[in-house]
Amino acid sequence: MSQFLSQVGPVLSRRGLLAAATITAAATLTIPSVAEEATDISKLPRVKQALVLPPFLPVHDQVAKGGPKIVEVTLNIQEKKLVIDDEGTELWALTFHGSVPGPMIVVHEGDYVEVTLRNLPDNVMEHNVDFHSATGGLGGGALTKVLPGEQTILRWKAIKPGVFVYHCAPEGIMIPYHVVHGMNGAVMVLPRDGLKDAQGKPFTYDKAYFIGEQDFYVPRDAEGNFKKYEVPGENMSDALEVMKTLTPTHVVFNGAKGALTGDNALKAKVGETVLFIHAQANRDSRPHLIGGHGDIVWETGSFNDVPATNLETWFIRGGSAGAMLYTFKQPGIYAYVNHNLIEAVMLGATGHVVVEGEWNDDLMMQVMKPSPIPA
Amino acid sequence: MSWNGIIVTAIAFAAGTLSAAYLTPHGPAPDMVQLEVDGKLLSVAINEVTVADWQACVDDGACESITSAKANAANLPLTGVNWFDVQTYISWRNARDDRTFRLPTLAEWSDISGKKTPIKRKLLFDDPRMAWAAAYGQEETPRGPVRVQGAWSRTADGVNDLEGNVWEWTASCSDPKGDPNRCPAMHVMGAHDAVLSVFVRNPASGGCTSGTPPTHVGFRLVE
Repeated sequence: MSQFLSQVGPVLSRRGLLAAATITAAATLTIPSVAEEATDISKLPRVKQALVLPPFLPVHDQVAKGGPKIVEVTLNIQEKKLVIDDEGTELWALTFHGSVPGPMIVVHEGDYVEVTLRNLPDNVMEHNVDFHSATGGLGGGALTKVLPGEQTILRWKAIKPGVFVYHCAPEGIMIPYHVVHGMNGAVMVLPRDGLKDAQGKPFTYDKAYFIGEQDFYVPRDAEGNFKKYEVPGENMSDALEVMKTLTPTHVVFNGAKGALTGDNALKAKVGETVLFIHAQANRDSRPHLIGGHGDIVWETGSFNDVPATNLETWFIRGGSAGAMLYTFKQPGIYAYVNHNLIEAVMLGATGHVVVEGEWNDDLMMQVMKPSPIPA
Repeated sequence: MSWNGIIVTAIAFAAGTLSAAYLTPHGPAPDMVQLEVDGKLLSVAINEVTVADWQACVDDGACESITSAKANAANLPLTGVNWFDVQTYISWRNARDDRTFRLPTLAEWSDISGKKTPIKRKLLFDDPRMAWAAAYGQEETPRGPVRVQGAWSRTADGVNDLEGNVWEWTASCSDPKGDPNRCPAMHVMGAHDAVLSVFVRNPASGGCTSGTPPTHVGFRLVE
């Protein structure tokens, strides 16, 4: 805890005090904030949100029905062994709700999220959760530390619309260790009146997918083979050495190489508008839809900002989530990749989208099939 | 040569049905089965060439010491060899054992595996303009590390692992009219047909934008 606080910086510096004085003197706060209204929380309706495994999102309304609610979710922390590639490489993953990434939570600006965080009894480590969408208490991390067998309940108000990462952040060296062993997920806070395009026109999406990108750092033995371990945390000293190199051995979507391919490829139809949410809790990425585009992109994940349009590739800063919208125009197979192609092909950062529909010759046509060059 | 031997040889030349194996003083090589393949009698290795086989070539100074051979146990199939490595091995082996080993052709390989008309799941797209995407997800590609001989499959004739995760180099050029000795890419056969550049030792895994490449590449001898 102290190690982390020292990086946050002493708030009571002279600079900090001067800044505080300036704001008080100004009197007029220029950014109207939902946080300013005092709400009687006891009168708000409560709804339970059933979390689903990624890449899917929980059932939700795009335009909020009614006023602010308290959305109840339960996150059961499970330490479990996963196979993360097609060579049988194993990893003791630390997971929210059994999956890497953890499940997506969807609410509207002004809602409250009440999280029951359970550290299941078979686990061996202390865990907590830091929501980038929350305010105060180290994102909730300070107030949610649970030992195996314990649970805690935290309620935070969604005051900023956008997509945000959440991750475990126990203490010191455990923070990066937990995050790169799978312990992260994302939240989407929709504007109450839904999403709007770059012209400010409201639109809706037909489907939404959550792609959680994960960098893994798996130690190798003297012969260069990935090591296997018996229990969670046993790899700690070896893993820290690999982590120090800042070079992952795996960069994968949905927890494993190929997890979003073959029978588990994403699906869509020509004419459908699909929202792709991309989260990377630790490391930069640059998603690209091969064969398509980012029609509307909130690269930083902030829905109040006017989105970028018609991008070939966009940038997801490590420690953040972004959202992209595409309306499919051609059927076939698309690859959704981290466009560092070494990471995409060699480290596993590739998913596929299978799209049904009619081919459009106007957009693309094979004018001449590959044939010998005439003499 | 005996009178019987002369008759056999005469018949062989006349009918052209017997393979070269029967004309050598040694007869068929050990660890091979004799099969009628593509209209002729072919001697087919029961197993893929192993790490131990390769190591004998390395010890003789004819073959390069390659990574996968060092990593894997001696009795496992050899993987991580490109077309040139295979040719070097075959030349050395034929010289050492006085034999005429070679790679099977695409047609021979298909015959040996007995899968003349592979069962396909329904294609994803019927439109001929979508042919590039139609077979997505169909190819069942066995993955994972190299396994011991016989671990994958055994045909009725006793040939092992034609459907394993080690694809086998063939003597067939990707361009059917091409000269096999000057061909940039050759057919490799396994759970599905693939074409591999002659330089590649380790096919890329998991990252293709569509379709799945071979997991490992090795080879099997015929005569």
